[in-house]
Amino acid sequence: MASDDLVIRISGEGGEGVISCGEILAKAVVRGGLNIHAFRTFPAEIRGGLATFQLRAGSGPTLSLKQRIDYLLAFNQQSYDTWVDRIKPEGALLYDPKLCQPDDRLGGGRNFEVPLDQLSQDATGGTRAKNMVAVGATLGLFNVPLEYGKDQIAEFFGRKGKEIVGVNQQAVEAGFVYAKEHLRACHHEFERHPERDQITVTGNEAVALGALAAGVEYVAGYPITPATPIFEFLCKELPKFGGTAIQLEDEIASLANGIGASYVGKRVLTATSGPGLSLMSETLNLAAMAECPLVIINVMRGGPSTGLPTKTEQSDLKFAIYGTSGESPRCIMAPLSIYDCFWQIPRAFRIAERYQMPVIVLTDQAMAYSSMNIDTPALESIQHFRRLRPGQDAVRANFKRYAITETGVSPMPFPGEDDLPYIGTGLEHDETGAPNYTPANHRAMTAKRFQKLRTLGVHITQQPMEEVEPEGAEVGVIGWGSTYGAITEAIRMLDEKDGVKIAHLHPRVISPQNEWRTRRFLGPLRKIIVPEENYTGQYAHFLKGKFGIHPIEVHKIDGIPFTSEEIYEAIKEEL
Amino acid sequence: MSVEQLTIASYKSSLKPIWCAGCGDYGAINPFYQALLACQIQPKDTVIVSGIGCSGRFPYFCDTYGFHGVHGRALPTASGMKTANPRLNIFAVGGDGDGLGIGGGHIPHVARKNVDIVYLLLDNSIYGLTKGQSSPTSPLPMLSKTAPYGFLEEPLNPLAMYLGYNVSFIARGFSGKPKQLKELFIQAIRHRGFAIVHVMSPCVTMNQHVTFESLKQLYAELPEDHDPASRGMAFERALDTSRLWTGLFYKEERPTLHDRLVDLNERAGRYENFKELLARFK
Repeated sequence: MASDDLVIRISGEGGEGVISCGEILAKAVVRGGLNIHAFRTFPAEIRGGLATFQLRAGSGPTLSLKQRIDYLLAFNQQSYDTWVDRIKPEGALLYDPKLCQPDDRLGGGRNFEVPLDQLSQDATGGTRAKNMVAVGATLGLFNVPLEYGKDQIAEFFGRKGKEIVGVNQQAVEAGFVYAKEHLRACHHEFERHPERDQITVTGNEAVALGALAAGVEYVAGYPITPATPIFEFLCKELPKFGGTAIQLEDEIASLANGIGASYVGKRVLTATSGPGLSLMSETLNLAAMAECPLVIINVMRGGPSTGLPTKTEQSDLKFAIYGTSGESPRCIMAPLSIYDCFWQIPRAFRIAERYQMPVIVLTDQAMAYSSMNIDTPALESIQHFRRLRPGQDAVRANFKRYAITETGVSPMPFPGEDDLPYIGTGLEHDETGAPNYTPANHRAMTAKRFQKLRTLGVHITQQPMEEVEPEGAEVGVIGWGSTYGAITEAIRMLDEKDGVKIAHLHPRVISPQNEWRTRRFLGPLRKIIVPEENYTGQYAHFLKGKFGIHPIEVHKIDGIPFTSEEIYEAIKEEL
Repeated sequence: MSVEQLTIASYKSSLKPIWCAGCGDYGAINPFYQALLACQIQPKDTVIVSGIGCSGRFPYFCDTYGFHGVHGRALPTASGMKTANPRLNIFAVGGDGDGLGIGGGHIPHVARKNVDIVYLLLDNSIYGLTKGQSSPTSPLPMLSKTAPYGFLEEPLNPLAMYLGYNVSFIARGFSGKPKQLKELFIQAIRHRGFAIVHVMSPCVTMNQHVTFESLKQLYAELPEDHDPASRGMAFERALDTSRLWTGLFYKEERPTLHDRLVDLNERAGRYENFKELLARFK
């Protein structure tokens, strides 16, 4: 077997348990010592339509979704018809002859029967556990010990009682035994990692965990696909850390409410998606103008308008950077992996608190709903930062809440704690917060607010970026957000297959972008390629404006993420 | 910090109100200062939140913390402050445009949550700051700059609306009757839960239709036998627009958002540490 990983796609009718089957499988495979990258697509309806779970697992790094699959496990005819052409030449079909009649497209003895219904019936007395039979069969293929699957079943169904756990464990075992006996041709032995301390999380879970690790105290939200799981998670878990999560009547109220909580001193977060961010644009300006720090997670989905709520896109970048009336400083970040989804959130809070401004963190549906195994975070290494407060010598009369300082950052008193009342305001104001419309004041206060962004820009220059610039590389790729994995793998493919060295830059803070390091990266390169999942090339245009370069734009607007094969082809075309 | 004797001066900021001479809002802010003093409200523990409009300038004239936000969002902002720090005294102030037009959609939700804040809605039945456009409470025959041929919409009945939303404290006053207003503010401050004091506060510059004179003629105090515990009775008075009934319409003690959050936190329990949560993902 040439590759060091395998891709299996499990597909069936929504409501048949494909997704829960995938979740159990993912964790069991990680327990078994492999790395995974799992991706799921839901039908738009709760039940009905095609639901698909794809698991890539192996001993090497599994950084992205793959286009071609080794195995298709089809629960029904529609799954077969939809996905059979994705199967690699050396791959195979696994199917239940009662549920699916394959044609001869694959040929060469590559169709393998797995009687899901029958095995479920024999093991449990019913066909409902066929998804668990599929879990067992897949564990067999990956040579993952059965016990890991059984353990996950016990955790997943634990609350439903021993009987349910037992029945499902029997189904998993039936699938496993069947695979061991009848699917020998499909077995793979991987090099296993020894006992590791890891967790398996989706991008949304990583963000929510990151927020809790960062010490978030207050969450104000409104449900919106695909950001809802972050909000739900925090509604459930934040109270257990002593914080408050509250649902508002809309996104406008959510952000206004969060600004209120920030004004009285709390670390605040809200999670939304494009349409919600649009509604927040006025209050976002207010947060910038009144200098109330907070973190907004924007899980991007296909747009515009209602667009493709359950599909992915990287199309909110320009809106995040520029999309409000007037000019208000804010920081835009884009985690580049699920691991990063955890680690960039404490950083987002540090930036928000240090610079007293809103920070927008852009993730996307694909990353939000994908899962990976990551090292269990070492919480001791997380640094916290609280915003600058007035000193003991601060005087009540004419207290300057918006004092012009070298960094642009002014001390912020908290009601109830400091006897330094002031008016936080969206109206242009002087250093005390009093309304002031004079030309000199507007000039000075605009500069003061933007000085914070400039200070942040200088601070960022000292921090390392995700960059690889091999000796002699003439072509570079600059990406942002979740395309990191696909780009990294594409560059590795070019190196291994074609012997071409490609440079790669992937900033985590998009605005203000690390200028010095970006210029240093651009220096030796002849050609820059910017792949992004949007139609208009938003990041390419940003780079063009900021650095005067003319990158080659590669766009994908399919609602599904780039694969490494696509990036590979796109780069190769430019060589 | 020394604890000083509070006086009316403790609540007045050094900024003099910029409202027109004779503006109804003076008749609201003076009894408001008096009510703060009567309730011994500490300026340091107090935030007054406003939106946009003439009444949006209210916080600047008070020597407490203040927040002058965007149009229509005083209530959710104020709610965030109270929810995040329940020890604070939180007031929201706004006009009929801010509170019943652009921001009207927030009232039912603050009522449902019963956030323990006081909302002063200063109603002049016109957009005064922007010089004379129709507002949600402009009466039908009234002309305005955006209704030069006469208004096209029925005016809102704010009191009936608050009652419909089951706001837990509803009162109406008139800035021509500051003594009564002071008492209503005091009762609102002492109420645990969302309290609205709807203040008829005429615009002397832009509104020739709803004036001190016209309101005085309609003015009436709720009769002695009005029972503020009776929502039905309150509805009857609210729907009777032949008079401007004033006083405490309705009051109900029920759990506040804070009460429910305290209960929620007890039921949710606490993690020993973060690792306990992470273990679920192994």
